[in-house]
Amino acid sequence: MLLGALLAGMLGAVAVPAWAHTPYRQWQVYRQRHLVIGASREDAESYPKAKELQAFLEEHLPDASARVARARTLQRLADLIATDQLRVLLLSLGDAEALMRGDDPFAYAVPDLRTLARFGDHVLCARTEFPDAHAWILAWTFAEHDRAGQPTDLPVPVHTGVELALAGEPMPPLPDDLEADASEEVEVPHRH
Amino acid sequence: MPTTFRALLPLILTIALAAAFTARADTTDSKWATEVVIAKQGDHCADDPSCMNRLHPAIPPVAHANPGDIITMGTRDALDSDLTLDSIADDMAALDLNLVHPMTGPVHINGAKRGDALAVELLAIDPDQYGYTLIVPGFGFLRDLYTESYIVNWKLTARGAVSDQMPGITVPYEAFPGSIGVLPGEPEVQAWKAREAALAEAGGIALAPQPIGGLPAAVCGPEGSHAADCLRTIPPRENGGNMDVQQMQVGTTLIFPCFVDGCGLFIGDVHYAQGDGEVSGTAIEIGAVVTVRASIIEGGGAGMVAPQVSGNDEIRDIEPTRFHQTVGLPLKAAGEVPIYVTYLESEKIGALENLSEDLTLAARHALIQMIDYIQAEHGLTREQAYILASVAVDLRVGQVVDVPNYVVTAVLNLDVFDKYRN
Repeated sequence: MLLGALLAGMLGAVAVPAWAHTPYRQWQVYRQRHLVIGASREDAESYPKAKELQAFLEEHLPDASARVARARTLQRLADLIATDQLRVLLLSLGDAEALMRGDDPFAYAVPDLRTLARFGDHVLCARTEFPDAHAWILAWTFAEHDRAGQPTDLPVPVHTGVELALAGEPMPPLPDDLEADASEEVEVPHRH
Repeated sequence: MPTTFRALLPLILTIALAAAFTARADTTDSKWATEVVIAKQGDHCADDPSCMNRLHPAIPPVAHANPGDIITMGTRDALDSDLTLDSIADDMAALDLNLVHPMTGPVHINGAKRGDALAVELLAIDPDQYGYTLIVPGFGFLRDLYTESYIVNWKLTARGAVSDQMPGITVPYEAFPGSIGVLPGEPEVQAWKAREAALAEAGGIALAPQPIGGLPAAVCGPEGSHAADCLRTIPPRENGGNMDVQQMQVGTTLIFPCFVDGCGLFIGDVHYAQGDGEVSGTAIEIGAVVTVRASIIEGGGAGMVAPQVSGNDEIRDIEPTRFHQTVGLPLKAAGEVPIYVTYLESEKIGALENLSEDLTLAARHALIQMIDYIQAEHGLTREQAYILASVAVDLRVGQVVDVPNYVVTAVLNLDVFDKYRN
């Protein structure tokens, strides 16, 4: 349960500092207790791909408690990640680049967008504030099961936590408010 | 008859008849009151210059009306959503909560002054054809027990609401504005903001101003003139707003204290039907066209603390003709700390099985029994039962004297089941 315990700690613990940015603190807690993957109706491929990803995570990272959120428009996804209401998006390569730059169809840029993993023509993205440890755990899990492609030659830079995982570096420390949830008996995984 | 005139006669008759029917086609053209119409524009509040989702006295009026005018407002659903009949639970987590609640207005009532009261008579509500009820994770009265998203899409007519996801059920049409009120004044904004900040500081659930998504953007958006002071529409306050009181039916008159000149009337968040309690956090949420008429009670706001309502037989008309009722007491399991008191950090509450004079716990006790009954007796799933409770179960105070066990009951309107109706 090493990963499970870490993910259990990862979930929900950042609710307090983030809640002031959201209208419903309780809903914010839900969105952080689950790894909610944002997809969009405008990109018809993104939703079934996100559901596949959810199924994968349910099997290999069950404590991530992955869920999928399907927005009607790509702009809605931008609004949600820009206001901390969603933290992870599944976007096409082109949409991810457009969101980072603020190009059409997006009304503004999210310049700190980073890649967590690549799945064919889509990338899983988060902002830089997504903790390195969480990104590391996801990248480690995908790599361990050969689930994601190599995140090279991507228009959106790779998240620092992913870089560390793929370089075989140990997992970065959890954010301070998560340390209490990671008990001493938990082993920190290392990629072999 | 001259030849020329004979030749033109059909044309003349056509023009004459057309003119006659245009001028007096039927009763439509016979008017006795001035109508102020504020129609919806665009898909969302952000597209509509008559829509706002924050409250502040600096928000300019979108229309002016005289006392006695018929005011018709197109309103949006509570979440300013893009949900549709084919929406699924995964669509819910992508809702932008910064857009809650879109309100139509404010309407300046000519002649009204701060210190007056505004009497608003509800004349009509014309619902959209689609509505939804949600279980929102982390939200609602039993949010600790219902942690997953769930959505019921309703097809609406003037007879009732039906859903493929709720077979055998027709919820009667008993619409009312979930949110209706008047603008706060500057003193109220500062006082309410301060008290809510104090509550939040103590760990309670209170929402600070949020400029992101705030409308109108010129006043309440990130670059708005009063971005830090625009109040969220989620809590009802002394100016009304998101009261969610189902007795505010068509035919009743709502009376609001006015805090600004012109009062600043706004309406939105119409509920097609709702039980007392709205326990899942949502009713049958709809957009609608709402028609009202306002009058001024000079100086009437001075003695008012909060809105009041007067009516005739409207409450009787929404009562069930048959019902089932559960009785709730302030009882719980030892070790359980009810979610609504966790912020008080009391060391006493957890160990007790019986709390004193606690209506909220009694309501929870009654509701959980009711959900069990609906599942066992009517074969609904626990999610369907919670949804049904939100739209057709009334939580009612039985008594607040028989210490320690105050009583709240849950009353299910059995008329919603098609098996009991002709």
